[in-house]
Amino acid sequence: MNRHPGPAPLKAASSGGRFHRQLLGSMLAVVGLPLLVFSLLSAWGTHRDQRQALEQLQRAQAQSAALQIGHFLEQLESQLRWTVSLPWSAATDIDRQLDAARVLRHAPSIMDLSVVDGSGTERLHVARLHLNRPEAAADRSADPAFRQARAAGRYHGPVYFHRETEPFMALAVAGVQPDFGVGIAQINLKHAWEIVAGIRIGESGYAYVTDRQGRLIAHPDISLVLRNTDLSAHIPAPPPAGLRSGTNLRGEAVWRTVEPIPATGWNVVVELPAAEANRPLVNTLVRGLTVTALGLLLAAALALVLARQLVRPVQDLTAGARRIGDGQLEHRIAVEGPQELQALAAQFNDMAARLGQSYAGLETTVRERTRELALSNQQMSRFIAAASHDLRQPLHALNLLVAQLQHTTDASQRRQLVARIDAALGGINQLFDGLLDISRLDAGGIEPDRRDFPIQWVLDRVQDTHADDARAQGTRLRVRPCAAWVRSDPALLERIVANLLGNALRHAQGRTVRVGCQRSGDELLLLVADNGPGIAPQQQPLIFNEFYQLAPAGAAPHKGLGLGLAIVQRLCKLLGHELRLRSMPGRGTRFGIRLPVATAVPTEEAPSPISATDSAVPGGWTVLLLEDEAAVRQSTTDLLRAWGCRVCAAQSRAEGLRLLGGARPDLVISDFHLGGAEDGCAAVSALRGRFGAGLPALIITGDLAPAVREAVAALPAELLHKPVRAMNLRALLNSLLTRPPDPSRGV
Amino acid sequence: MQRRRHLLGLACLLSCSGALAQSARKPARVAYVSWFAPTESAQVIPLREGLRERGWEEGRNLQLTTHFTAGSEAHTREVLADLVRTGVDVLVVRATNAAHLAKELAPGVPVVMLVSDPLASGLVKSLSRPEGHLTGLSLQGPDLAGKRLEYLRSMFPRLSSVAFLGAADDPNVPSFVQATRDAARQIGVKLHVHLLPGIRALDDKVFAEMAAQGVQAVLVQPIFTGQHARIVAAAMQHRIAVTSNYAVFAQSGALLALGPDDAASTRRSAYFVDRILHGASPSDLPVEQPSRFTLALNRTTARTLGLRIPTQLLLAADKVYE
Repeated sequence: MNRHPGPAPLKAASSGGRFHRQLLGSMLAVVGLPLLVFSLLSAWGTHRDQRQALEQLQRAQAQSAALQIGHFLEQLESQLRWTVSLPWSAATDIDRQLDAARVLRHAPSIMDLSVVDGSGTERLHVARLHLNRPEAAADRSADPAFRQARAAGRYHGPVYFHRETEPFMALAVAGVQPDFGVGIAQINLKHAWEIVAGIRIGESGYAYVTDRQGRLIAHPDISLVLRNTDLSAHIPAPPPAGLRSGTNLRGEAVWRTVEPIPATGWNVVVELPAAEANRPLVNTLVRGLTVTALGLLLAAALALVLARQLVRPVQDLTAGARRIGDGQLEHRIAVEGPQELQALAAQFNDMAARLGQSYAGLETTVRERTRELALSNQQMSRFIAAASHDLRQPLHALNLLVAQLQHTTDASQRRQLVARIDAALGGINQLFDGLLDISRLDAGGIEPDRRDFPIQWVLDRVQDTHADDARAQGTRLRVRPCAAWVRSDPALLERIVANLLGNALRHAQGRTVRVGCQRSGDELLLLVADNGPGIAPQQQPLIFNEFYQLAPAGAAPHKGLGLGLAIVQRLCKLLGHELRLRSMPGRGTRFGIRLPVATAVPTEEAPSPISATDSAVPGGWTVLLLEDEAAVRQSTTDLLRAWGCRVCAAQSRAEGLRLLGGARPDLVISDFHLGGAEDGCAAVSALRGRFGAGLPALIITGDLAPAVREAVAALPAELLHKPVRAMNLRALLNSLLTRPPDPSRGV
Repeated sequence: MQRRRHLLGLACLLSCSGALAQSARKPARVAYVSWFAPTESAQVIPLREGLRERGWEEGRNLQLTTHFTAGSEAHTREVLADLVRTGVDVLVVRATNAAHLAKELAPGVPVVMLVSDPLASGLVKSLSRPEGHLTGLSLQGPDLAGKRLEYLRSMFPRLSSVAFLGAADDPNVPSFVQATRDAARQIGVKLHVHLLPGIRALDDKVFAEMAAQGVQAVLVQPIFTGQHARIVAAAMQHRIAVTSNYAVFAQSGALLALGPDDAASTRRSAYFVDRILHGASPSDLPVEQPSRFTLALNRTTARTLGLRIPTQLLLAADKVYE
């Protein structure tokens, strides 16, 4: 029971690996996918929310800055307004100078201040750094500052860079009445720097101000302003509303919002570097991915653990099962793991135990059978020994008798010798009958033909058969009649009773033998009793054994092998009738057979027995004989011819047909084994095909096999087993040849 | 296997030491070189404060050395050469002479200058784009010349003769003189220019000369800051009013001082130092002009001289000393 141990371990490992991978894959997918999707979604959500928040914040800051710048300018305007709050003539120069000085004092961003009267003449010019100008120095009527201030009440001049570095602008305010004049101031916008310097967005966000042309006028880093930085390339004009992406001077990506200052046409720009703006997004993504990675790691670890938990016990199971399969039935599998797998292992162990048991059982059975076989072999040897022993005597006699016959010429002596040869033959025949019966019974070759019949048939027949023998022995034979009907096989039952009766006659010579029936309920007990010497209790079970013969005290030398009771036992078993024995030494022996009672059916008639002393075979019948054994063929032919038949004897059907020469045979007698390709049955079928299905056929064979019997019965044809008694053959021939034609067979 | 472990250990050690070295970075070396005398060492205080505001602590990440050369070119040269040799990250230079020397002797070193007129003295090409290794603050010395005279005139109704005291070796002198002359012409006063060879050559005799000329007031070039007490004392002996740029003059008895807020400007120079130490190039940093100007008056001096301070001057004044 050696299986191939080679590939098995590999297969186990690889299937474990594949399961590992599958489990790992599914767990990673189950954990990783949702986490990943969630992180991406939340990152996108964060980004969107953050953009909105940023836009709002930037707009708020920008608007605040715009307001502050507007306020800054308004403050300056209101300062200026002081200088034009009175008509020109109303104030003296000194007062005006003082006013101007005050304005310069309070507005550090005003670098110089001119007061122009209603006609456009500059009446006063006070400067912080350079010299004041004397009165009526210039005609400022054409100055756009004067003009526009007169027209609109105030004027915001364009931004210019003083000394190419500081952003200046002209600011003009007109008095309430035209003759109050116009105040024009030059503003150093460097002072507005503080407004935007304090604006913070997040950590690195800032705000700045550009003029109409995109030039920087205020920035937290004043150096950029002083450098006259031009941002018109970076910010499209008109600036788009809302949060936009762009690049700043340093080339960094930024998110910016532009808020216009309507009064001056400047823009407040609020920027946040994209690096910082995107930080929450990046953080969320990183967080999400970290969690995903951790989750994946966890899932992988879990998958590993789970897979190992599952795979190892499975591998243990596989290994254990293989060991059991290899024949180690005492191996028990132990697994750790889930309950289900442990239950499986327990089942395996159970199975292994049972396998072990059944093997043990098988071994025991084998041993027993072997013993029985040995025993039956022994019996067979004994059987053969006994048979050959019992055969020797009559054969020996035959040898002598035939030798004698050869030398004897006297007819009456010859007749005597023939009679003795016959007697010797009878013994041999009897022996063979017995052997045949036993072997047929053992081979299951006898089918009981059960029917309901009156028991009297059997009683009558045994009486007829044995009356003479009993009388000759001096034994009294009493057969009591019985009207009961029984269910059994009459022929086989007759055989049983005949054997018992024969036995009784043999052992109770000179005494009384009774045959009768006892009825009890629905059973009939058929008894054969004698008042002979009886059988000792310890020998009672043994008498049914083959060849067992009690040596009766003073009994006549018996005929037979001692098979009679063995046959009786087998027949009773076959028919299902219980066989009882009651005997005491010195008190006699009583055999009983229990038979089921049947209801009487009056129309039944006793079958006519095959009489051995029928008249001779009607002469003139043509018989085709097929027999491949020369001696048998010759002797059979001679016998048939002696009975008045015309015989065509052949070895095969072809030869037989040739010998017939177109004549139609009345009967076919064939051996079963013809030595050629065709057996007897096939030959008969072929002959029937040629001569009609009504052609009677008889198969004589020494083969006791049930298959042969079935084949012959299926033809249908009669069957006789060798050795065949001449009188039996004659009787059968008679019945075959005189039988009215059977409509089922056809003619 | 052994060797690998050794290598690993060595690598660890090196990286650790590298990290240590990184954290213990060399402190920034800043040198303040001033043309003025050591008596003016207080000049550097706003610089220190400004640097501290921006996270530069002396002893931690800053090494600030101060050098006052008191008007000596040789000494200034020596100091500069020395600094260049030993290595300096930023030079903060006060006064045009020193700045010119720094420009000459330390071409690779960024210089933050505090000078009167960088543009006129040729230290930078333009205020908005210096395009060199010098940047810093303009103290607008000559610009205010006119205004000073104007204020003087407002106090001296019959002002007719003024003097300008300058140092001949100072490159700013031409612009100072020019501006003052223009202003004098506009106002209608006579200007007498007195140039001393250098600030060391201050001699009281010059005031006697001025007095002989009938000078009523003297405008002192701010380069003489540090000797203001002596100047005032000497001038007042001859009843000559002193005006200059810086309030310290007024504090010491000068009648009037108009100039930028010196301390504020010095403090602002720290911004430049900080930017440069963070990697900005001086050529990218425009020269800044002062945002605030201080007008300082001395009432006692005015009274002594019999002068009345007009209201608008008082209004405009930031500091009034007694």
